[in-house]
Amino acid sequence: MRSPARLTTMAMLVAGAFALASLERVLPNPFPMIRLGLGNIMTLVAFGTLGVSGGVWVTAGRVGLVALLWGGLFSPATVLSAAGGAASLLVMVPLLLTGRFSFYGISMGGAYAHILGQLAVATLLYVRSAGLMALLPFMGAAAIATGILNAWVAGKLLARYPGGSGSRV
Amino acid sequence: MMEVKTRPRITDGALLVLLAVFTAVSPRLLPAGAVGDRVLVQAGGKEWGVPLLEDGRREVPGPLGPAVLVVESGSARLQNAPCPLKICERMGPIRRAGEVIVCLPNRIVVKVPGREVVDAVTR
Repeated sequence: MRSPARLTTMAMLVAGAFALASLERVLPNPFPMIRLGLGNIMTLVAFGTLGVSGGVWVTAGRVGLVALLWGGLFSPATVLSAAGGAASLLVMVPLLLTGRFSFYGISMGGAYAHILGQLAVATLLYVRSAGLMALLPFMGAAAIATGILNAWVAGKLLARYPGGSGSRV
Repeated sequence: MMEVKTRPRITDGALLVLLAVFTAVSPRLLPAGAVGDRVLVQAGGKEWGVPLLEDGRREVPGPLGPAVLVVESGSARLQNAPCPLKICERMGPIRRAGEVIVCLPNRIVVKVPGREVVDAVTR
């Protein structure tokens, strides 16, 4: 189902996710280990407006664009970003499909999976020491908080989307 | 057709509790480093091994003077260090892979070799 409206919406959401992810890279960050994950807001909105495949495409598009502009295709930053994106989708899509979780559960699960995926890949590929997992308490707590924040923002955005809140999946 | 809810539901709360609990207990899930059977000593431009299985006291040379490496019931510590702050004496005893004693003023490093599991442990 490739209607022009759907394509346009998806393009807007990918652009928005890319802009938010870029903004986050430019903003000064006092805690390098903790990221807001603002790009995921657009993935959530895509879940709400375009369904499962929309969210998957918006995440993939964001990771790809960020890699092209900021990272270099196979740099560690890009590999970690892709690992985080893939892990978050692997959790968010099933949570969404159960139909039992709102944006809040999906967003928290996605944020948490994102850091777990990144820590796992960083440990296996780059550091080869389980010491990184010692960061989990800090990063986990931050992921829960940013997950809730992003869900709140995504809910506000979806409510203003033409067609209203709670669109079809 | 199903809809995505934007208001939090009870299941979200359950997930929140689950993640919070996992986050809180995650440090305990880390495996501790394996107990080592020897330490590597780096001092005076040389490096040598000292077994941890037999108790003993050995002098370790340094620019400020010798310190004493004490091996006692499978762990190692520095004693009688000539350095001013004696930080190295309080960094021990060490016994697990990856643990380390460093004396910066006296240029002495004592570490347990092997696959380290944690980068560093703050005491």
